[in-house]
Amino acid sequence: MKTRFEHDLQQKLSQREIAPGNNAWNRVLQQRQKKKDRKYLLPVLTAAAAMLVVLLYIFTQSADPQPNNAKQSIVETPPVPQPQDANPSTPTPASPPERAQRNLIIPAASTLTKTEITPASVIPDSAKTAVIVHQLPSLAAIDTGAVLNYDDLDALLAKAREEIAAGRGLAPRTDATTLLRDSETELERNFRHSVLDYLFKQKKIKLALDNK
Amino acid sequence: MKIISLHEPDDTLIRKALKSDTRAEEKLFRRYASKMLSVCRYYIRDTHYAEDVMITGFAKVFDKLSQFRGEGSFEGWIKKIMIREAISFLRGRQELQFTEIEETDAITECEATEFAGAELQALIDQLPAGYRTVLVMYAIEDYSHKEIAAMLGISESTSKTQLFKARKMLLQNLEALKKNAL
Repeated sequence: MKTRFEHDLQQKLSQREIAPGNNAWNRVLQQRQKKKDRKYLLPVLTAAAAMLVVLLYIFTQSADPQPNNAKQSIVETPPVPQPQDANPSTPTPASPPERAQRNLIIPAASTLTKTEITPASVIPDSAKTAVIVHQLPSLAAIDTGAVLNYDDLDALLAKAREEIAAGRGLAPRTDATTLLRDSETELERNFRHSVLDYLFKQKKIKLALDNK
Repeated sequence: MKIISLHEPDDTLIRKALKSDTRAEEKLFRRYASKMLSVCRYYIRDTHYAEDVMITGFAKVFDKLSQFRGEGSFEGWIKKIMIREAISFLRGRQELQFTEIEETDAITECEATEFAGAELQALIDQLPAGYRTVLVMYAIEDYSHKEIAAMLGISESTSKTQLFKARKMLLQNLEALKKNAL
């Protein structure tokens, strides 16, 4: 319950007024303007940040080593002799740009695992192709130097892709722990060598002093 | 003959202000600024800081004007915003500290009528922020302990003990002031 003193206090203070500074209203306006600016700036900044993220994503995608992989696979494709008696009923073989595109598309299914797209994976790819060639009895003609047609080659490539997609024929993934352990061992060895070198040097100096 | 209305009621000004009429907003500001600065000053010792708080409070008042439903007085609505703003300011400066007090001594009654508003304000200023806030909210703004507890995030008993201690300290200061005057 309020005391008499508090009643008096309320009466006295509630009548009190303090005039603010002359620029008080301008300050209110300024503050509101600032708030408005911030309000408009926020979506703009958000949009800019989102755009930046998208651009970065596109950039990283374009800088992905996948195209190199595809390019390399084209280079490494064994030269195919031009068919002497190409059958007009057979579908026309894909031109090199189309082939490159196909090479780009098919590994794209496995782009989820970035570790697969390494230069190391390119070489085994072609090596695997060679293995498959040897393993396929139907394509034994390759070994004998018989003329290959595009169908044979396409079948060969399709088989190789299946193998790659199935995860076979690729270099084993790098084990981060093993890698780290190797680095640590290497560092330790280097450090030990450095310490021993230093100690031997010191010893030499000491000996020199002793001789003195 | 053209009749110029000198005093526009709050409702009219609010309606205009809601349509982004800056003149109406300014009129409302000029009408309540002195009163609201005084309210902020109850809680904040420094007049400059109190004015900053009042300005921030008014910026909020105009930004949230559409939320005013006209259920109470406009002045009361602004005052609530100012009080909240002042409490937030004190919290930001970590000035609001509440401690439980066990003392339950009786407090002698005293009259405040013989003191001017400025003197009473000076007496209130001498109180720690926690005591001052609870005293002003309870004695001047007529908040209940329950409301004070909810607004300050403390228990009702803490609010009561803060008020008790504030009263005691205030009356001691008042006695000292009286003695000095004699």
